[in-house]
Amino acid sequence: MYSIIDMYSMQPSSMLQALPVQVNGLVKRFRNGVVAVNGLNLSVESGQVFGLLGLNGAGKTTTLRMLLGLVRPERGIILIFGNPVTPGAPVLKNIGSLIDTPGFVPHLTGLQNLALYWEAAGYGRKSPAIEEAVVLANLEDAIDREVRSYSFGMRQRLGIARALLGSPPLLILDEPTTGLDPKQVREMRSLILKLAAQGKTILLSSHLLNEVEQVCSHAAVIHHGRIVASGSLDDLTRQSNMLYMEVSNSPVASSVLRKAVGVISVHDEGNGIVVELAPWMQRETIPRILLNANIDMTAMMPRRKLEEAFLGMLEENGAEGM
Amino acid sequence: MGSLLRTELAKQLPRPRTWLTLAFMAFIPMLITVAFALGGTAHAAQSSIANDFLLVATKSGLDMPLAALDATAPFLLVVAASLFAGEAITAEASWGTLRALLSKPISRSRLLASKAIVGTSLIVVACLAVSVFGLISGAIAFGWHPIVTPDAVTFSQEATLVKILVATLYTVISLASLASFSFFISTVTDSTIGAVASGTGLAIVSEILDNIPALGHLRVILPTHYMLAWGELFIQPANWTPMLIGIAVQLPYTIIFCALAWWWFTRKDILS
Repeated sequence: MYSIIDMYSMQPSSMLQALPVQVNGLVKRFRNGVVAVNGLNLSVESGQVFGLLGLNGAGKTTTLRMLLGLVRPERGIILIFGNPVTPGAPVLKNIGSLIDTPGFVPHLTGLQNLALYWEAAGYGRKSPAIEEAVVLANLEDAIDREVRSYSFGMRQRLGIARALLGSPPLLILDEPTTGLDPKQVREMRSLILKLAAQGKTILLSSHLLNEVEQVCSHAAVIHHGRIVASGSLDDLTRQSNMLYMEVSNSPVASSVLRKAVGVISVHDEGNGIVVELAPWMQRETIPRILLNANIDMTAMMPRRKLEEAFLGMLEENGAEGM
Repeated sequence: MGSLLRTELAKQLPRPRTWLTLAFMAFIPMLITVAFALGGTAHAAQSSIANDFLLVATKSGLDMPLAALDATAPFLLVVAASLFAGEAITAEASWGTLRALLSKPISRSRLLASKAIVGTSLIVVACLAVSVFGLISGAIAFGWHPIVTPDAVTFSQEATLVKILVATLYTVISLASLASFSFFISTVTDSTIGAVASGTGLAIVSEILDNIPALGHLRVILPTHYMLAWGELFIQPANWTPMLIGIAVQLPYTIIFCALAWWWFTRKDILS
């Protein structure tokens, strides 16, 4: 038996089997000559929480607007669940979106805003989907107030409620935590994780790397309108000269490694230690050094924060001001 | 389309600007009535038959809606029409709701059509407000008598009511080119003031050019030239020709500006 939300999201199976987002050779040049997106390729698979990372002006928002049919690409193909996107395309009903600061009709209540939006999209004004979205966005207390009295955080939550109307299988969120206070950021993060756990595909843009690191399974780095790196977060942070390892005796291991040639630094972190190697140093040497010192190693993995990876990628791609 | 019309009405009707504008349009004829009641009939020379109703406004309450239409059409109704048409898209853009609406499978053409229909309806209501409140306040102040024009032609109350209705609807039509220009500009800019000012500005430019005799017959194609042509209804027999020419002048402007609005909006990148 389907719940109300499931019924809204039911689509022909062949449609939902296609990639939620597939973009090839996307180019957008604005009238003023600015090339916002320049040959962008992107694939987001079903169930992924995908972060689109980039500096301000990198082309994130323009890309997301093109995915929603708001901005016309100059060249390239955009497929959402296998269907081409054009302004007003039927496939857009499968997307819930939050682009920029969410806007509402100020003299209407939150509930009226949602109801009118839902009715304009071709559904009933008194749909159970509205109640579901309000509950999910935790807005029950304020939903009957005029939107002009809402705080920024409440508007953002109402924007999320609007995006969740009808439980679309794909969510596109542009900087969803911008302007929120730490408590609201945590709530937003928790909501995104909850939606991800429900199996939704989420594509979000952000320049807050910490946020992406905490909610995303995959990410792409966009720079000057191009994707310069893409993959799982593990993949993106793998190429590193930092190693995290858990050993049987951390103080002794730290002492041994500090004396080893090719080890730049060693410091404790959580239950393990983080070792920074010289660029020429082979990682495989470390287990041998520890073995020779009779120290057992239970885990060893690349240790690189997404921030380092991100900045490194931008540097490799010639970001200005780095 | 029905759902878009309902949602557009539900957005526009509770807006303070809608009620304030309509209330102002209702207030002006009452103000004019009070002015005439206190000051008596005007004696200055008038420039059109429609202006003549200012000369006889105190003779019958039925003169008052005509005097009010005459006084408000060239500017106040132009501003109201520019406001209702010019805010169509810019209001959505400034609220930030346009991008949310258009990220759903909503046809831009239908959205534009629904806004044009609701905007036009509000312009009709504004013009009716001028006539109806002129009629009510005039009847209270000056009675319900047959009207006698300055040329000494008498029209019964019933005949005058029909002519008032025709004059009101003609005023709506005579605002079409200015309103559609504002409507077009509202698809181009995100500035509400710019869109509203465009229609009003076009009317002002048209009025200025209309006052340059050297332009001769070229003046007949100006969007405001035939705005008060309904005055010809009050001669015997009624002369419909200026009104028909006025409608013929409005038509191409309106079609062109609406077509431009559609062309632009359906191709526009939504960045607001």
